[in-house]
Amino acid sequence: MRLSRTDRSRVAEWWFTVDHVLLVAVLAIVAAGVVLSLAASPAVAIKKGFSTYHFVGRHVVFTAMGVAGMLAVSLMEPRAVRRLALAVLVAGLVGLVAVQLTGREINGAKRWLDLAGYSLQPSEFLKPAFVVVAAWLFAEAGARRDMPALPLAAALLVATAGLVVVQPDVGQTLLITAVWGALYFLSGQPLIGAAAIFGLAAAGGVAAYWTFPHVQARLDRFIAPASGENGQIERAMRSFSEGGFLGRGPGEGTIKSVLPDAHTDFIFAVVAEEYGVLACLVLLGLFGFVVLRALHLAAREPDARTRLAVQGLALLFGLQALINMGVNVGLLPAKGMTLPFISAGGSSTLAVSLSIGMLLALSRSRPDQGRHKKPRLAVTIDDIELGGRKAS
Amino acid sequence: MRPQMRAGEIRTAAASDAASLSAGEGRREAGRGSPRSGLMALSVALAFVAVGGQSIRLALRGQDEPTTSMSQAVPTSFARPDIVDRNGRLLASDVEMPSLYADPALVLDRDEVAEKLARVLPELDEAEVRRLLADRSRRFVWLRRGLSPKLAQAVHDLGLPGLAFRRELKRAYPAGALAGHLIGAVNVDNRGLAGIERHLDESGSVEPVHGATLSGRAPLRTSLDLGAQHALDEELKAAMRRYDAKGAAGVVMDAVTGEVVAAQSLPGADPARVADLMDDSRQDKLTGSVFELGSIVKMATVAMAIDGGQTTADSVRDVRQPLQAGRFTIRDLHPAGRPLTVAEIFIRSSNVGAGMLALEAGADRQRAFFERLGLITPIRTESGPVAAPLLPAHWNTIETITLSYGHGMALAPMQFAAAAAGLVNGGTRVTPTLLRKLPGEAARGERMVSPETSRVMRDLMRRNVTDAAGTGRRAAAAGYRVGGKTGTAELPVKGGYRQNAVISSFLGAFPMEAPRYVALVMLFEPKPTREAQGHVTAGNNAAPTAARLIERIAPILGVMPAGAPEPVDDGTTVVDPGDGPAATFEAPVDAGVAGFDGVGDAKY
Repeated sequence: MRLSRTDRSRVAEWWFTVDHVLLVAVLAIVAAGVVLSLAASPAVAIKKGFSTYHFVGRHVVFTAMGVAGMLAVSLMEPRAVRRLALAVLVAGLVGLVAVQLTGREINGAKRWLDLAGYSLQPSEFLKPAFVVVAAWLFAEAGARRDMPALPLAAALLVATAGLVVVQPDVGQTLLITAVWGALYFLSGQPLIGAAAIFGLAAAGGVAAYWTFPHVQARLDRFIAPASGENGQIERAMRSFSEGGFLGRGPGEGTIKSVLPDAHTDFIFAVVAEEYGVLACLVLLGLFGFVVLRALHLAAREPDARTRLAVQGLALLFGLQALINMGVNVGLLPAKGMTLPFISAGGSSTLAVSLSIGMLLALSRSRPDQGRHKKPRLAVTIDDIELGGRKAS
Repeated sequence: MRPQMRAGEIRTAAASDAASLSAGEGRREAGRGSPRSGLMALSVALAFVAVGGQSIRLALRGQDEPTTSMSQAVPTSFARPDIVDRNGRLLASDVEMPSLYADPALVLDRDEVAEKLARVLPELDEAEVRRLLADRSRRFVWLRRGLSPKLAQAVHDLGLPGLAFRRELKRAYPAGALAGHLIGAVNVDNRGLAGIERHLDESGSVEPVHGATLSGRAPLRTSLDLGAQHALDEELKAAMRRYDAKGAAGVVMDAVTGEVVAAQSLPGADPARVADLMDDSRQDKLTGSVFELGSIVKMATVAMAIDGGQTTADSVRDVRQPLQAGRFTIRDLHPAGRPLTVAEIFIRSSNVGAGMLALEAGADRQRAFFERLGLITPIRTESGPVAAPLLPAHWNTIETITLSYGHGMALAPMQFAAAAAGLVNGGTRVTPTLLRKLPGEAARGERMVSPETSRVMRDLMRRNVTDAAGTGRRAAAAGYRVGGKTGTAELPVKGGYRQNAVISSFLGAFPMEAPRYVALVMLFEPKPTREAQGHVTAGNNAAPTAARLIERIAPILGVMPAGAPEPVDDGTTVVDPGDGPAATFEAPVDAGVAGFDGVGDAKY
């Protein structure tokens, strides 16, 4: 297919305005996810009594659906993205309430909503919508003093975090609170307020520590490994040491048959053991590149609503990856956080696709953006022509 | 013209850019490209660098300490050195054997596997196999360790997926149940559980290995002589049949060095079957149990009386009256009806006489003498601790009397045999050992009784066999100058003793003028069969068994019968394949006969 600059169709316009570098980096992560799902999930599938390629098949299907969705969303205009986010946010909040009322309890937490035979995790889809809407509110708070945007943003956080934390899902709560705080900071609000939010978040963390026994146990184990067995993280860390830089080779890993969440929370360790730390660094670099590229694109964005949304989505994506990988290498206490596009899990993959789709849509270059740099007027084209004549 | 045209186009584009730029500039808001955005990007970048750095650190850690790896295969087996007898004949050895395991995840049809396997390996429990294969999350279950290659091939030929073999070491015992109690056993991982096998583990000769790697260590050379051991086993089995006994035990020990050249307890235990060692009915009677040994203990009583010069073998005691001690009356089975000399007390095995000798010495001296003989303190051999002596709770007059003829105190036969060896070998202590002592290592033990006492004991024991009235006269083995003492101990039951349920023993030594070996033969609950002239006493069963035994093992052990040319040097007559004759085989063929003659001249 050849697209002409003069083609004003939606696809053509998308192709010329979307950030190709970011798109390629994201698709590289998606491809890596498909390959790596072959490493970890067959072992887990066998252990859980499914057919060998149960999780691989699911991953491929969800990834395909996710990529299609991502591209579709990236076609949208910023205004449409914001509307979509608002709709998803409302649906998500309703879903969270429904989860509390009807949801099944799995591993001591209510996170899943059964919809027509499929189970869905509303909190996953809620995250990008929450970020875009929060960014919108913060932007309005900066632009229109007449709107009570800040209180609305605060209310949004309280409602969302409140519904997520009662599941209980302390990790996700932490993630959306962190992104919300970062948006507050980036939107140019007074630093004193940022400090206050940080203090509140810290207080919330302490409260979580005393409220949820599992949080307390995990943190205690992380701080003083001797006080209890820190088995899963210990085992994950060991797989980095055993894999070395080049890995033991595909299929040669052992951690995948030991850890129950090898195909989700600990897939990074599986990669380390089988493909080596060098492969991990490449993967880490891809994630880092996507985040920084998105932040870089955002910095040129004049519209605060869009800029904050891109920054927030990038941070959401980046922090989630960082937390997952940080847990795997033993820098953070155990958290149930998936590695975007890499970990198995339908809701996670689809929600991350939505997230990146919005990111791609919002980071597209637009005429009003001043994307093209100012021509260096000091030496104009005319000057060149004239110079030829003037011979100067 | 063309350059101009192109320049014009570009200029137009540039102008529109400038226009849109200025439009955008008007809507620029605070925060764009601000320090806060930069700070945020920097923090995120640093976080990624931190995770990357930690990954690299972990990878480097793994390269520094490769041994901390947990996925390192655990040692699959333990390599053990061989156990050989004193002449290098194999008693125990590691062999490589295939062990069958299953990967339940790869098994297609559980029922098919269980049924087909049960057909090839009938001793395999089909239900158990089904249960093991049911848990598909386990990737490794042992089905059968140590198959013969033939059976492994048969299993392989079933062509069932999910079954595989791993080569392992398995202990094999070519000598079967010979000396099985002393050799002990190993567990399924080839680690020693009991006996000399356990001694190997405890002395650090066993090394963990991956797969089936044989041990490179030199074999453990025991003191046992497989030939003598075989003879002992056969003679004891024959005696059990002849006298309809429930059990039998025998030990042949070097009288000076304490090397056990043969030891067998029947019913025996096969080291290859661990269950045998746990079986109470197969308990080791030599080192694993204690018994009241009866009159063979009179050796100790008479030696106590003579040692130190309190009395002589020729002094006389009036044994016509039974001994009274409280409510007990001690009388002889066959009273002599006349006073007896100390020697006659020993030879006719008079309980009254022994009791009188013990009373003369007193309880304290008796205890001290038993202690000196090594009968009080528990001992151990390389196959583990010997069952500790069971001593009387009080050591008063009645105990002093009964102890003099071997009742009221229970001993492991091995421990008493060692004491008896000390009494006949010139009077030095003997520590039983299961390891071969090289000639240089065999130092004599500390002094136990005087050489004179030992000489008298040898004389008395020899007379017990040669004297027409001696209880041990049926132990006479043609040409081997056997001497010894019989003992018939009634088996205790709660509150007394069982009639006609006895342990009959013969403790002998040969050749008696300078004993090289001590042999103890015990029969448990022999019946008064025709072969035993209708008696259960030791003189009628244990003594003749000892005679047969000694006639068979003496040639094996290099003891010359009387009348044979006496060797110049004892050591050279012992047939040792590594010795002299080997040199003659190296000589040229044409000089062979002359060379052989030369050696013969040197020998005799």
